[in-house]
Amino acid sequence: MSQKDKTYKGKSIEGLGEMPEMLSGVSKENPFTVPDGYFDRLPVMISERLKEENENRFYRIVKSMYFKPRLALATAGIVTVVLVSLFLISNHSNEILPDISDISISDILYENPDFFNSVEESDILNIFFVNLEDEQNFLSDLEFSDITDDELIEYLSNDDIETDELLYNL
Amino acid sequence: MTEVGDKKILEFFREESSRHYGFNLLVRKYQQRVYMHIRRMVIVHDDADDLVQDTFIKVWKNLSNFRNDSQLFTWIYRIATNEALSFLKQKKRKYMLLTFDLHHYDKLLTGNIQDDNYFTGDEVELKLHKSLLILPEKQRLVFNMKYFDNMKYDEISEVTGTSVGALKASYHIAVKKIEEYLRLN
Repeated sequence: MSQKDKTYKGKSIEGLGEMPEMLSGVSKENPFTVPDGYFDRLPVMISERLKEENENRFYRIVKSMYFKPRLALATAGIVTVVLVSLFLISNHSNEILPDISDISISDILYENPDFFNSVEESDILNIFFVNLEDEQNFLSDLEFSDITDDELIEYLSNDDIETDELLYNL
Repeated sequence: MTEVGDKKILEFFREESSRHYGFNLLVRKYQQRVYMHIRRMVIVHDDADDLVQDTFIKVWKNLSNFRNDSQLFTWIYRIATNEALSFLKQKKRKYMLLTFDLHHYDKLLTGNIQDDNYFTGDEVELKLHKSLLILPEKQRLVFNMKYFDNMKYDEISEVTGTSVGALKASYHIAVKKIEEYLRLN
């Protein structure tokens, strides 16, 4: 034993921890007993508890969410933010949609008989087709299907289109 | 049955296929010592039963983190000790709030030893165990491990995280208090 181990708070502790004289006659036999077969059943009880613990794992996670104040506060905060956001979005949408839905196309045409005359073809295409691919499909399906090869060759020969440019666009 | 070594138990436990088998060996090897350690602290069999189960559940959950830098038994003892001390702390607080008496629970435990069907000691042993209940929990813990379990101070130090010097002093004070109690009663 080192010198350090022989003192505690500056006092000698040598000889401490020896069997006290008065207790030397007292039996060290364990006077605590257990019900019959207890130590045979204990490993089984522990195994069953482990099985239950695994089954209730998910339930405990949910339970801890609701019974731990910090988690509960965090959850409440997130739910509040989500609800307020949804409320604001739905209110904003309601302000615009009724106005649009209230407008009938026939009303517009009735009040503006020259509506289509004042609109360019490209504007209509821009309204109906959200992307270039749709527009090209539409043109190929509807317009070019009626054009004959002769008409197309004539158009190309009359217009000033370079062969390279044509190939590039194809 | 031959007792399986700690090393073998840990090997079984680390293999997924033999984990339950290894744990079962561990429980069977240490259950009696863990039970008695806890029972001496909480006195009542039913409480000791709950705490032993809780202890082994914690052992199961944490055994994969066990490093061989301490003995397996002192590691399990430490878990059992913490379980018992937490339990006693809760009980004492509960009874103190109900009765405004700091030592109400200690008095209850003294009565429990006397009426316990599972206490088979003679009169002298009964007196000794009653005298232990006058000690603060940590002193009682040190006395139990030294006197009944014959543990070395180094091992007790591993369990309690207290220096050997402090443990010797604690044991010495406990013995003095017990002798005083036995002299007066």
